Amino acid sequence: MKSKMDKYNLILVGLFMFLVILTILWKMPQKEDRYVHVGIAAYDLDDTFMESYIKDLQDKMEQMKIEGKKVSYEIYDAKGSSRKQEKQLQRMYAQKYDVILVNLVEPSSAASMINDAEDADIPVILFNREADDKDLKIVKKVWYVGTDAKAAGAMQGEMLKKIWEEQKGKIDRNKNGKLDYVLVEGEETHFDAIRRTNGFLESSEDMPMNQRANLSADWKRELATTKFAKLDKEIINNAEAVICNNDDMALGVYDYYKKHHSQMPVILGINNSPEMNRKIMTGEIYGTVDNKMEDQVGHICQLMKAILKENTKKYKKVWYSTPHAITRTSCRE
Amino acid sequence: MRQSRKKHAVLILLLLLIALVSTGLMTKHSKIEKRSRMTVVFPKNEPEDLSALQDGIRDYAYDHQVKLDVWYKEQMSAEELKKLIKEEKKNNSKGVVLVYPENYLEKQADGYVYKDVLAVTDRMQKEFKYYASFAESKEKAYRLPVKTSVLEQVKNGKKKEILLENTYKLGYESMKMKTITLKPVKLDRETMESGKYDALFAG
Repeated sequence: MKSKMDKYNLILVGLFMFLVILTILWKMPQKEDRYVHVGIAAYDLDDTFMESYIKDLQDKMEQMKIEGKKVSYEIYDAKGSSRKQEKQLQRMYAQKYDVILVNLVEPSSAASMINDAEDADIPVILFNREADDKDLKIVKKVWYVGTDAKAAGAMQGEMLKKIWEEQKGKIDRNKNGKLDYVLVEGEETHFDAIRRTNGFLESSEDMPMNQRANLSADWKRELATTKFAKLDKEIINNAEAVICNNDDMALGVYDYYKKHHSQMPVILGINNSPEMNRKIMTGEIYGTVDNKMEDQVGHICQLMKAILKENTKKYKKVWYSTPHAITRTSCRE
Repeated sequence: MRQSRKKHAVLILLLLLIALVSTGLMTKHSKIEKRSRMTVVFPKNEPEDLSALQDGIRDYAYDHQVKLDVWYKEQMSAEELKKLIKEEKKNNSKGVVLVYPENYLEKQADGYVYKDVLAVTDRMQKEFKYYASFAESKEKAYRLPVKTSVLEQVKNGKKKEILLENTYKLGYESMKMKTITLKPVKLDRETMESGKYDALFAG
């Protein structure tokens, strides 16, 4: 009887030891990745603004450490093709990045992209090309960082108003008492293009504006030159101002006038790219709107840290940098 | 009798606990990443279009479930390379692929003989034990991505044929960490119409 009890006790002790070993194995920490992994999807790195944006982002991320870990990032350039970006996003989900930064080719397709990222359990920061508000509400782990497109457009209107009031005699070359202008827009269905244009039109409502032509050049410099050249020569020669949704297209219009040695109208862009800034400082181009790219990049990095520390309470879903008017005079002041 | 009942209760409790802990352990095991890891170093601010080569590397990683540690370098000394390899080994990386190191890595007089490093290179084949590059050709060779205007010329017969360096394949093959020299392929109207390279030209 005693020997039976001893055997029983031995089994109990054996099982207890087995349980202890299993518990240790269960609770043993996993081998951790030594880096934080970030995927960056850019719509087109041929866009000079986006190229500078990504370079700034790269420099900041290389200086960053999140909870002691270096950041390993990878850049995916969609070259303006939504099909290419779709394939790249599939590769990005498979890489299981800790966070992805996405500059969409087609902001109207944000909903499906956000859902796919949610399925892959990857937080998303959309930047620069704004998606619809309702798309951002689909899931919790998605944010947007960009500029207030309408405010940037409105600022163009304010800048135009200022120069019209100060130099009306010089600007109104055909002396019809109106400001004859050409509007050059980004992609027709693009939210930012629509908002920038609306902002400009609303803020210049009280001016004697006379729109002579309106064209879309998909944010591109060469396309802007080509399409602008196709306008009626009478319109081109009488244009007193050319308002563009971004700097690249403004530079495209500048290229046209420079090539034809024609008198330069008041040209306005948005972004404050280095080349545009140089031309403003030399007085060849009137002005642009600085989207405060550095502030946006800084905010993305802060938000990224917060996401990885799972502490995003103080971050709003949508964050805009405050645009700032750039003219030769404003910079001197 | 009472003691025996107690022991039975302890036994049942132990078995239940073992079942619970085993389930937890299995769940943890299923969540552990089974993918292998590799490291890729790209030149930073590279003016040449590396998109096809990058697509090849990414497709390999996708097809073979490889997690990538990616770095962009403007400059790198031999010491920094050694340090990177050491760190990557600690992170369980199976190998390091240096993409066009001639653009950022200082040349060493005695060469590099790192076992787990492969260089995708045009000019540093002698410096590395393992490398992936194109065989030299007498005629001018076009690299992917090829301009649409050039492809059009082949299609409409203005150019009889061109030599094509398939950078997509170079990227894909380089991830196998074995020395490879790819010959440029001849691309004429017939090959184009066969649709063999359509996926590559579609970008």
